[in-house]
Amino acid sequence: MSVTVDIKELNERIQQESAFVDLISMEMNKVIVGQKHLIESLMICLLSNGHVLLEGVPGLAKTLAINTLANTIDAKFSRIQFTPDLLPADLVGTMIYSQKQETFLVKKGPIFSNFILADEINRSPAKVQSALLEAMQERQVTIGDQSYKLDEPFMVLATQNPIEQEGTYPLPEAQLDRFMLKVIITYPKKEEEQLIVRQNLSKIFPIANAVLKTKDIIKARDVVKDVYMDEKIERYILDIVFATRFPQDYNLEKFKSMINYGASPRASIYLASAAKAFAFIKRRGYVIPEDVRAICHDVLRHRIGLTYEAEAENITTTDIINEILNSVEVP
Amino acid sequence: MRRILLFGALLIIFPAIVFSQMMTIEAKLDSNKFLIGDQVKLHLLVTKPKGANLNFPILPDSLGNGIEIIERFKPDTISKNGDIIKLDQAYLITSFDSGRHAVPPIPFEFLRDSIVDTLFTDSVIFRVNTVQVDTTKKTIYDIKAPIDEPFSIMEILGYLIWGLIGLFVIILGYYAYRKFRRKEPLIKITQKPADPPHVIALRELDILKDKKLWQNNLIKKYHTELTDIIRKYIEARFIIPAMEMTSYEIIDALQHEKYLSDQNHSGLRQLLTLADFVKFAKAQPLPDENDFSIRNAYQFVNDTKLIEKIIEPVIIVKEEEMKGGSNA
Repeated sequence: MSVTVDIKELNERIQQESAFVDLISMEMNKVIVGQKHLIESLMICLLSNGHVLLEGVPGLAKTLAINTLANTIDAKFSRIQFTPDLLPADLVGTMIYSQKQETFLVKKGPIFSNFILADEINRSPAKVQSALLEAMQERQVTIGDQSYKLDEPFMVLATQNPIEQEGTYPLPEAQLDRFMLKVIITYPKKEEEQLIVRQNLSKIFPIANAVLKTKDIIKARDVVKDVYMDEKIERYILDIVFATRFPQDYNLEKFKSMINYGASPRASIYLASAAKAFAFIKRRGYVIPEDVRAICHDVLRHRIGLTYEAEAENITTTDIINEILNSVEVP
Repeated sequence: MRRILLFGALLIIFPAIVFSQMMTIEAKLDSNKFLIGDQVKLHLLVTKPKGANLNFPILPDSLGNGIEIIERFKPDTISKNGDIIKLDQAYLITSFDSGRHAVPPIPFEFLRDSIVDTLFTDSVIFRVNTVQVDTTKKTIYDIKAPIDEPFSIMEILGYLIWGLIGLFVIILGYYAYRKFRRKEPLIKITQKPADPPHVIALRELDILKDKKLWQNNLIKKYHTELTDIIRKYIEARFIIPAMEMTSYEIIDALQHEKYLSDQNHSGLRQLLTLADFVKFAKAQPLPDENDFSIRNAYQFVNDTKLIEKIIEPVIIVKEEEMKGGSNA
């Protein structure tokens, strides 16, 4: 078999460029036990210029994972604990009057970093969420009458707790849509938890070393864009997204009354770019259906609106995505 | 005193006398003699002041004494003279009894000073004559028998059609009832038994081979069709949704299938993996590899097809019968 020249070249390029993936994984695995899916999801977002929303009960190393990822890359990192009394200025910065210079000076907020950990994002009111989400979309912040571009790579890693709902401000659907992935973190396995206990009780807690520079990430993002996606894969992605909007066209009449609204075109874009990033992580220069299926849940789960009927029937978006994947023909 | 009483009585009686003098009713026939069965008009004539409340009576179909009403006409105004109007309501009457008859007095109700009073017409006498037949000159014939008309199917065609429809509905209802009782489907459609999956797959592989797709540089189409045939076969043969599964998922699902040999596994892996390369990575396989894929597909289908075995019944012959048979 001979692979056409461009794909062969691309494969070779990816083999070289994606070498850092193993390095990052290795460094992260020093600190984080298990959570392979979480690490992969963070890598996907990093490589495809997206943002990630992590949801899981407390104590599942959400914050630690993000912290560790930031440590592995020589980049600026900010952690913002979202609280009900947080103000947009606390996030983006403000103008401060300098008596010495007799002028207003810009005091940039913690958002001027490469990696932002928005811890418990749903604890702050809508105006703070909006300020952050605007920065996520526009990649710039306006203080006073001056707009400031945010440094690249810029990645927001938000966490939210599904248990405590009292005193929280759930993210509106339109704002949720801006997160490329919503990753659900589950409990570790028994053996993994045993390792976690041992690791935490040892005298020296491992620390991840910086193995990558921001310019490497920007370079890798260019390579990810070059990953080949066949027309068949594009059609497969569109079929999946359209099945969330018109389930009756895919022999899923039972979901017609369960889905309030389907995935947006942004879902198709993110499915394609996340599939490319996943192929890159797997050291491939082309996307296969497995790549799409691997990231499908994380991309779609926060983009499908369920009706009250679905909630009454205990149908979740995961059930709907599973059924869609089992009904849409693989190319 | 007497004079006063007389004057008072006159005051009460006088308006009634005046009122009744102003209102007259009359029954009148067009002719007082007519032949039996002939029809004449009976006029009820009313003369009354304008605004007087007097109603024409509603007469029954028969006035008694053999007098029958055939038709009723609407009341008509004959004349108007100042405040006095004359009305006429006519009835067409007949009689089939000869002799002297009388239209009985007909009552008319009217309202006077909030009191309903009744006026009656005089009875009207008339004569009904029979037809005199001179039997010496005329011959009396017997009644003619009914004319025989030839029988036509059109006479009963309507009944016949409705009868047949009714009969059909009854039979259909009975048939449906029997099917319902036996819990059988109403209409049994006998379908041609579907070909077994391997027959379909082998047939489609033959067609694909004859198309010579990869020989004509349609390599992607060739591998897409080849994998579709195999995935459809796997779906039907192993009852797994192979069309909705990726290559790795199919290989994984068949991993523990006991009917598959190592050779089948490796053949299937080669076929699907090569197809994935062609479909998604623009790979250009060598001619041998294209041919190898279809050979693997044939072998996979032939090795894994379900074969129906007819088990012959085993006849157990008793030992005694065998002995008896040998003795004989």
